[in-house]
Amino acid sequence: MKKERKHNLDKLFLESLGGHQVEPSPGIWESLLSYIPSGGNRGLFLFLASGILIGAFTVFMHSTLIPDPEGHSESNITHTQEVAAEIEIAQAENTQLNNETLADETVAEFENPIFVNQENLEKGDFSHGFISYIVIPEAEMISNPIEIYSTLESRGSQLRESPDPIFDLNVRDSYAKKADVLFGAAFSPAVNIFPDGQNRNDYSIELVAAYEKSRFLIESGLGANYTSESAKYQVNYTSFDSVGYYVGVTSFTIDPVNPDSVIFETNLKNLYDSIDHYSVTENTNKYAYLQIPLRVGYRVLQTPRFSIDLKAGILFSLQIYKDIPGVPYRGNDADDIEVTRQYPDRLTTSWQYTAGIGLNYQINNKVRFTLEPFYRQYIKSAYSPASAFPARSPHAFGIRGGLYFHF
Amino acid sequence: MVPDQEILEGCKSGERHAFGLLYKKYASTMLGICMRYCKRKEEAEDVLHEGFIKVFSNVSKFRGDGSFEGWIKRIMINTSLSYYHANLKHYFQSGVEEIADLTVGNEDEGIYSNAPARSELLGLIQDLPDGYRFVFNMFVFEDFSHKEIAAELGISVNTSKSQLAKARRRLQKKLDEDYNLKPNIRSK
Repeated sequence: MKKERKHNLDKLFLESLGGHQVEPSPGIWESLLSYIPSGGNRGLFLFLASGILIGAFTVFMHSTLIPDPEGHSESNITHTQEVAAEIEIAQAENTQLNNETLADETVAEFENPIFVNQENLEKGDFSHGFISYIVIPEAEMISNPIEIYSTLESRGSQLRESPDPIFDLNVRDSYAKKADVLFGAAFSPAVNIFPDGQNRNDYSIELVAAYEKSRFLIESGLGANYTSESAKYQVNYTSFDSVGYYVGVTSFTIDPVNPDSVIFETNLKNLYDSIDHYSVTENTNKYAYLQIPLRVGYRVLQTPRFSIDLKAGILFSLQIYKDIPGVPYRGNDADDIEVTRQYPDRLTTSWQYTAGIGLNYQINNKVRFTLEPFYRQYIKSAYSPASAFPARSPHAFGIRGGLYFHF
Repeated sequence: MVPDQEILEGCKSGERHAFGLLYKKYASTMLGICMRYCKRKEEAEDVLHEGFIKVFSNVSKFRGDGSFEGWIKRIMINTSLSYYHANLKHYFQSGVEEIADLTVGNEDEGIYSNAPARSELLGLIQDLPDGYRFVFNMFVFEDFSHKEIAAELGISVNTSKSQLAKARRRLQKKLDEDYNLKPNIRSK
């Protein structure tokens, strides 16, 4: 506790300015928004959850459609040795079945031009209706494994180029494999679902560049988005309205026929008074955004023409245009108008995460058509938390259709 | 009005809405404080902006030892002082000898009547030289002792007393001249 005593001058200032409040300019809060520390656990949680779901789905698809229980190495030499070993087993198991068709030397004669592809050889799976197999002398396999592998590989390629290829998830000569860098354009209508049920559509166009390697892809680009939302206003006003009528007497005369009675000249007069009106009016606000997407994906299915990608990413939006028409009606003769906005401010920037399933069809060697159902959610609300009304956080479902070109 | 505890919990959880409530609840009061330390509203708003950045980034460290409002207020005052810190020493002139010229009057003496409007009193404070203004504000409004002011501003206790005395004298003079309010500071 300080010892100094306060002067009456001090009291004058303290009492006058002690609890003084000054309303800050609105721009201060706007500029503070970017300094709010990110702690959007919900958005992060949803993003991670979608990633985990995609990952789990990918693993499921991979384990279901591309079984590889032996866990073979990618090394060519190791492959060759394992192939050789398994061919030997296969030989032993099928000796009786194929005894009549197998030759003593290098290659059997084929009644039908069917060839065991390398994967089946690797897996020792000879159960796909093949009636003939390549048989390679054991000595040759051991002495020259790489050459043997090359032989198998080249003959496997012959099979893949056959007019009626076996269903193979690892088609290496597909169109998609060749297209490492692609450029595309897409259009995306979506439905924004608001918690209050006021769903609105939005539309996006997008120019994208994609890079694909193996089964992975990454894409980004530049887009424009148009959206709208309901804008409600509480409008209270007073207007000079009719509240009824009365019969007014303008003049009267003595009845000349019956002097005991009076004849009144009347007319109907409207009665006006100030009436308080309390109403909620609605209008539509329109916004346009510049958008920058960043998506990564994994190809879970690949056939020569058709493929499926699982994609997830983020979308940055910057508001470039807004049309806020305001209150649509205030009454021509209204007075004491009091308008209270019933919706929160939109922020000029926002981040959303997005996840989708890309269904691709390779039209020809250069062009691919993509149809991608997607889900979109704001990582943080798109609305200012300083608004008097609770910030809405719509999520969206949409479909993205586009063409990708490989030059 | 949303309780501080609720706002604090929201802010610590990273809820954007809670930061909005925090700003909404305290921005006006804090700008009122900043206005006393700054010469113009534009400067005060700069300080408010900078102060709230510090509040937002450190709110998770608030342990609840004192009042939340007091904590924010202290940040705003420190930010105000920092704002002028580069030139701070220039504004303080130690004047032990000058203190002898001024004494603090009895608090029971004199009652101001027809006091100027709040905005005019604020204007008088804002017109004070920076050194006077800081010491006067800290002593009168923040209830700092001269020792605490000296420690906070890096000046001597005597300098703090001198600055306060000068501030009072100048304010009294202005009140006397402009508003015909009798001085309550007696010269020896």
